[in-house]
Amino acid sequence: MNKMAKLKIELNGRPVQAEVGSTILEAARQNGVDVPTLCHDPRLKPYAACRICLVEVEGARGPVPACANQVSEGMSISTHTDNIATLRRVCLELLASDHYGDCVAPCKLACPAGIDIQGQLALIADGQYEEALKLIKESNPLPSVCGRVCPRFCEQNCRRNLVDEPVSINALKRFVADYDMAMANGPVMPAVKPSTGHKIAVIGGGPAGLSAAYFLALKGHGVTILDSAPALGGMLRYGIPEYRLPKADLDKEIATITALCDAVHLNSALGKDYTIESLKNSGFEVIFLALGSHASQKMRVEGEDLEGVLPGIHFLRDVVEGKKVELGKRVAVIGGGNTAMDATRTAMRLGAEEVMVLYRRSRDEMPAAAEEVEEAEHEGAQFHFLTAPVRIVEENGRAAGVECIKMELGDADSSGRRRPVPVEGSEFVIRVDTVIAAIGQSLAMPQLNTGTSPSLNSRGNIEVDKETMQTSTEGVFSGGDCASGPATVVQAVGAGKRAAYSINRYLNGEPVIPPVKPFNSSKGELNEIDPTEFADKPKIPRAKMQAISVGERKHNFREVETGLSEEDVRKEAMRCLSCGCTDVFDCELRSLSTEYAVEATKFSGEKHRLPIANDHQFIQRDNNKCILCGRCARICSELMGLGAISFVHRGFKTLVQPALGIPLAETQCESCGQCVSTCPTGALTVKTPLPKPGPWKTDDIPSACPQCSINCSLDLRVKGRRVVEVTSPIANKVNDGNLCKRGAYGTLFVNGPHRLIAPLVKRDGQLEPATWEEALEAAAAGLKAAKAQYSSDKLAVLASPKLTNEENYLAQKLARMAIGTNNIGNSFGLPENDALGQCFGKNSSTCSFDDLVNSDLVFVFGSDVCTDYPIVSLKIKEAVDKGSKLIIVNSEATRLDPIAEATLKVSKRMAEELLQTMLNYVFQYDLVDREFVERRTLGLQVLEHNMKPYSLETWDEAFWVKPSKVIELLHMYLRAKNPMIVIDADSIGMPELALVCNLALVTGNVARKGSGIIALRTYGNSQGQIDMGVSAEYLPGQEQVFDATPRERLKELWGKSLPKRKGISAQEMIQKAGSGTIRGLIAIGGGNDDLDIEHIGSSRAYSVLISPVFTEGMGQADVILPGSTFAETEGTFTSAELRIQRLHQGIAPEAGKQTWQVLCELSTALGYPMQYKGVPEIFREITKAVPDYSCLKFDKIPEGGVQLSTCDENTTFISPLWLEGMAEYGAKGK
Amino acid sequence: MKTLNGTKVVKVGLGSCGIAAGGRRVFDALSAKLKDSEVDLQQTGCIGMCYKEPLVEVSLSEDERFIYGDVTPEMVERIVDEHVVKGQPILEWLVVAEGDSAPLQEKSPMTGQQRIVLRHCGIIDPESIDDYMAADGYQAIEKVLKTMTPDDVINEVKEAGLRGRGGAGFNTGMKWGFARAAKGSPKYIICNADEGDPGAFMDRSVLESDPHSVLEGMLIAAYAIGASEGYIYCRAEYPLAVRRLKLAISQARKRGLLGKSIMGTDFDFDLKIREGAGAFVCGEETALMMSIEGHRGMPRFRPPFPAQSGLWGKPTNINNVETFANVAWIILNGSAAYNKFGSEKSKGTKVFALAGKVARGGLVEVPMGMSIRDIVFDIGGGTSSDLAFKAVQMGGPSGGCVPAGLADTQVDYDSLQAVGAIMGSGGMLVMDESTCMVDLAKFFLNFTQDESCGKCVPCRIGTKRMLEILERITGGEGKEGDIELLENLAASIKRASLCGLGQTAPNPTLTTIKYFREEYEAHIYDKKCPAKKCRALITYEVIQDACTGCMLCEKYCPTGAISGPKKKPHTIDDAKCVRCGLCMNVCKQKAITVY
Repeated sequence: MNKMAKLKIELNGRPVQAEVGSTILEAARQNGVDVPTLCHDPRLKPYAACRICLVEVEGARGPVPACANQVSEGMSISTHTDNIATLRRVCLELLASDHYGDCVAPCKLACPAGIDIQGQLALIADGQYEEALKLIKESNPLPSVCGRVCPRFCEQNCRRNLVDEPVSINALKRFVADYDMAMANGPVMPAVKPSTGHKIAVIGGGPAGLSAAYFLALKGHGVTILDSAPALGGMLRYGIPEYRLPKADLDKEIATITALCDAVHLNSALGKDYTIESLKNSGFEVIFLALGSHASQKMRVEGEDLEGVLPGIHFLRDVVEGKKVELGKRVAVIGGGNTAMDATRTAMRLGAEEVMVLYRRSRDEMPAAAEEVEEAEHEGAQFHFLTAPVRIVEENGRAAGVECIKMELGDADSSGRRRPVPVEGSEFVIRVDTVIAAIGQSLAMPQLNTGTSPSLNSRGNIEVDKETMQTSTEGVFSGGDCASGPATVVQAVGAGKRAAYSINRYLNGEPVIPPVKPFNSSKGELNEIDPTEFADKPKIPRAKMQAISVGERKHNFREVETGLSEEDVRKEAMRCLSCGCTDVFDCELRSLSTEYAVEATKFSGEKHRLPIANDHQFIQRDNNKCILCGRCARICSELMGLGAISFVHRGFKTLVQPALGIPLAETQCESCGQCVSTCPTGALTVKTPLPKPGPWKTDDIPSACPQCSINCSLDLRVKGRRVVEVTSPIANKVNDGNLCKRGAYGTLFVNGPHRLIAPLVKRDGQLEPATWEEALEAAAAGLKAAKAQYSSDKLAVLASPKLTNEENYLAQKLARMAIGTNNIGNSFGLPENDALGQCFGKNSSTCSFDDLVNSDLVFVFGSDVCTDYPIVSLKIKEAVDKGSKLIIVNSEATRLDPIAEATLKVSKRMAEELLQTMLNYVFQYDLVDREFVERRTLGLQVLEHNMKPYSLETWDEAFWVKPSKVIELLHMYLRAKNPMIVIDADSIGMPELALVCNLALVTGNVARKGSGIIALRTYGNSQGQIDMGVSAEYLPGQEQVFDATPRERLKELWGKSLPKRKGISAQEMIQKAGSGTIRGLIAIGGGNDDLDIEHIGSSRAYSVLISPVFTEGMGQADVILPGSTFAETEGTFTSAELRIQRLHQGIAPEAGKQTWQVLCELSTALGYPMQYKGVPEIFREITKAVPDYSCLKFDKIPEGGVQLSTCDENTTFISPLWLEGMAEYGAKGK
Repeated sequence: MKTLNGTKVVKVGLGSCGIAAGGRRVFDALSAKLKDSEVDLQQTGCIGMCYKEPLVEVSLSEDERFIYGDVTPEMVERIVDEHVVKGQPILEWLVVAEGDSAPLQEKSPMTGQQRIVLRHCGIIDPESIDDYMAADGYQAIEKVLKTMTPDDVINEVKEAGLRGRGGAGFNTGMKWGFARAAKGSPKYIICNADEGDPGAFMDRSVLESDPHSVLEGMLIAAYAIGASEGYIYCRAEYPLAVRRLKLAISQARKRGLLGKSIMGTDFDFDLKIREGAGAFVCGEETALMMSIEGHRGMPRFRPPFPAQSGLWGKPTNINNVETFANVAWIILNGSAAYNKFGSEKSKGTKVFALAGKVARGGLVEVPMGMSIRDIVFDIGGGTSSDLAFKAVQMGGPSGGCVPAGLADTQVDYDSLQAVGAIMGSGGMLVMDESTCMVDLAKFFLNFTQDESCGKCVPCRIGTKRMLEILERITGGEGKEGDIELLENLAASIKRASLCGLGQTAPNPTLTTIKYFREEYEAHIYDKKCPAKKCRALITYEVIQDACTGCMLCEKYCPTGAISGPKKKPHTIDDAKCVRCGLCMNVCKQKAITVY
């Protein structure tokens, strides 16, 4: 069918075109209309189970699933009608009703600032403190302050309460904040957007004002803070005593915010020095009022205005300001809140001998934090509960005591606490010298005589919309205590953040509405959760906050709490239960539920509650979050042909489970992770190789897989220093989003655990850490000595085929220039099989993977592609689905056999005989494509002459294979119009490969679209190594070492003559290094198994290894230099279909240097200076050294790569792929 | 099968219904008794009056038919001695008496019935192809092969107005036409014998009683659409049907009626039986095909329809047992003859499995258009209790409830749809005043919920949530707004579900709400179950004046909730009472009341 043919449809009333044969869903997307779906994956056949993609089609009986119906001429489709939206919402609400899980952890939900606490703890557990702080600062600019004084709503809601004690979240926050402050390179500062030119005045520099200023400044707005006090901080400075929040720490944190602001004006009071009107007149478009709550509430008892009666908040302020405060010996503090506790403990520090707290209710009703009460008690305060003042006793014109009355608790009041009722006749007097009244604060609203002053509410606070923080006055917003009444620091921070969001919208001319509330599925409140759910969690005591002793606190204001040790912090972070879903940032169910404003509890009823299955090394299954879209089961059976998971049971009880209910790991699962990649929710997740599973909001860095020569396109999902997951973009040219086990999980070795973090040098037979300088010096000295004592050719260089082109190029250049030898080869000791090169002139495939789909026959020779190259096997399956025939010759059965038209089991030993027989048959019956051979090849007669005399007759007896089967298979190949041959160039022998090439040549089955040979290779950049000249025989550009032309070209480029003598093979190098014939060795690895070769380990040569990991086999080396992995460097790979893809650096190299830098420094130390500014410069040199690459520009390589065959025609490059230009190579025959 | 030249024939109904009621023992008794006589003792399939099984038919001459019901082996002696030998029917045991010599009966259950599909049921020996052939069997396929083109066949069936008896009621001839026109080969014919509605047994009875008529119908269909292979998808719970089908297929093969070059023509056709594992949803045609292909039986979306892309992706025609059983008759008697029966848009007859609280339950076949009242009262004999007729559930769990007030509704596709019910495959469940309609809705929803394949969201979770609401209502926990919630949810489920199962699952609930809303309201607001069925909403009490203190109830009460002194009125401890109703059942004084 002509996929590109178009037809006309009407989409949402708009006439548009759609490709013939596309589904409604595809047609809509072609025209920029997104039809939502949960069960559809473009890699799979339509399924139509989720009913989210339902649309209306004119004339249809009911709603139609867009994923499963094709468009037809004139079809009129409506994708977003009210009826459809209702159906989608109902379906989503039904899904939500059976979704048992927390989208977001309850700690985060409880935090007024909305800190991603679970993410923070996960980063801390991994030792990524800086990243943790960055994450905190996305929501709260005052981590150091809050880390000390936060009332910790998060910990109250922590699910760990159901196991033992809550995670010490706040102490961990304080740790990272302190850690950050102590860092030499200064505190973490988030990125600031470019200036918008808008000006905002923030009045009040307390937590609400600072928070608003911070978030507005990050948006690029110009912020000016005005404060009536001589220093910023508001209550943080004047209300919270030094021993809880040292002012030095506060100053540092405030400085991180003021650094982002335009200006700060201190001692500048609203109503006195300026008004709202005057600020507006001077260019401020928005004013944010964060005035705090600085007026003390009255006790309303006789004598409270006497000398010796101090309002609590004024008392604390006077102390901070260093004013002399005379307290006498006995002090009564009235009240039960935090201010009362602060006043109590401050009074004791000032020298009061007896401090009594008078509180009218009982201890349980105290609003102060329990720890504060305990500490006050600990420090010696006396508590008088159920005691209320009725009068201040006067003596000599000043307070001399408090007359109290006993109270008892009556019925609960509106706050839910029991109301204190006086006990008649129970009055008594406590004699004191000073009374501190700390029963509450309120806003002291300045008189604004001009302009419009924002309205106040019935409680005397500024009236605001609680979500947008807008006041009654245009352009004036307010938040913090002045709007909410006295509350906590973190609530003020949250208010400032909300206000900043609104103000930003206001300034952008957008309607001032609160942010869309994301859909949230919750397991329920703490008391709704069955604690047995956590029965398997071991009880681990909570980390104990370190504090100075009571003795040490006497008469001073030293900080009482000293924080947690790093060791405690890491352990404590591990106590987190990771309640929130790790898929929260990617969950398709959540984003749709948000879009359709789904009520999570619209329908209630039974929910699945199944244990989370941890029956697989890489995959975690949570059936409670499964929506039964079937994508996992279908991708496993439909695409991978495995069927490791499938549906069981019926009705509401239906589940997806591993086959036969056995653990997933014990099924036929191949750990390709395709199920995880397609799961739209958090039901299937990757077990991140980190202490905690996230969730991670990642940066996705495009890369390519180093594991085999297919080079699947990858996205490295990076958080801080880690690659937390490896995925593949669905729309990519190489692998359509499909990955195998090695790609999805094998690549995660980059996170450790065996990473080298520092160079190692052998001293006294022991490898010991060394500096880079020491190590490079030692390496150079050792190698130079070997070279001097023996000769250049007694040295060798081995490079991994997983290294980039640039690294390989430098490695061979180092061998040839710095050492002066052609002893350069691959670190796995793979034999160099250049049969393709000998037959076609280029040692590479002759066509693309996509040609498989264009072929009418695929001939797999000698490879189990399902196991070794799963992604190519998917393409073969696709070809078979489209009508290609498949024939397989292999020594073992393969999983493709069932869909093959014919298979032949032939042992490796017999492969050559089989091919000889086939070719002889072709000659015998004159099945040669004469026209092609004549025009495009050389040496047919030589080939014919050299054939061994195998014929079908010898077969029958000798090999137990029926000749008829061989003929049948051969004839299928001969009959095909466009046959493709797939071989594994690393496992096939050279004579066999030459015969395969010749079979294709004499039958004319190369050099056409859909016809040729695909040569797969084991490692990611095997092809690149060949092209870069990592070879004892070939120079960069696949040219012979003794060939004068390239030698000249390279000499000019490298500034020095090239060694002439051919090197020894990689296999030999490894052997001889072991036997002692090779005296010096440099081996460069890029993966976790590249250098794990015993020969290198036991080498008698002076060996210098460059490797990102340390493995046991490397123990005998003389110097080990830490290298980078593919995720830590820039560069290019060349795949088996000659696709050049760029790798982007995802994370920093563990030990600070990338492998190319190490190679340059080593070469320089060896006396051949290599200096490149970066990888692009190396690549530029490669395009000069390797003629085939001359048309490429590093920056122009698109995502998904570029194939060499697609270079433009004006370049000198001749494609080795199926373009014209073959004739000059031709078959040479062997 | 016929009484030849005066041979006396005695038949025993040995369908599943007959066998279950003890028919085999009766047959054995008859066999022993008649061992040396010339009386021809035969087995036959379902005679239709299942409520009276085992049934024994005695025909002493060709034109008379006496059927005895509730026959036990002990009764055999008298039947043979008095009736077979002496020619004196035993009036008090007779159920049906037909023929000149028959004594006058009141209303026979056969009155008003018109047997086309069941034309051989209870008459021929289902295990004998000769019996079938003697009754004009395989003459229709012969006529088709020798005198008709495939288009002729399709036209004849189209003209007859035969609509699919599986429930949807699509014109069979047109459906065949689509499959015939579809490109691709091979083409398949599938007989859907996965009868799954609770209380429905039409197809089973036809397969057990007249399997060859189904094979012949399939042969004709295969010829019409150009199929050479067929499947009968029959549930494994029908072992007798499967056994008789297998037997019929092997008999037909031996006679050259299946296989290559049938009747000497170039028409080839053969059949396989696939036994389903009893998943209700596999009666849905796309799920059925998935199941035949070896996958989990889950429906898929349409289009493409099976006629274009069915089994193994090839053009496929699926009809159910009853549809196929009509075909040979139509071919032999002509569309005009078929057309005479039925209403304007629903032609022919329909078989119903009459069940529930009906006096004469069984298999009946009536012309389309007969009223519900006539079926329930004239054929079914009214309710089986002394309670009033309340409603009838048409079409099983996908159907709807028609209240007594609408009993004059004609039984045809369109009239039933107009009142919110459906013809369905032919289940007809009669209810009397003791049926709680909320409980009924719950029963059917429980069934569909259990049998949902779990694929699409509205059916899998939506029906579960509806069921939970119904459970809540019957459990006395109903809330204001529940009825509306049910209605809204039902509307979405009907619109959004993938296949017929989900699209129709809310029907019993919706129709009971429509016709018995006050009953729902009584549950929710008054916390009362008017039918006195829902345990959470009823209370048992001893009528003090009526109780004689016989202590029988006390003895039977499983929880010891009843107590009282001997010979004195007893009382029920409501807290202990589990509302099992045993006391009420055992009380001879009718001294237990429930309210």
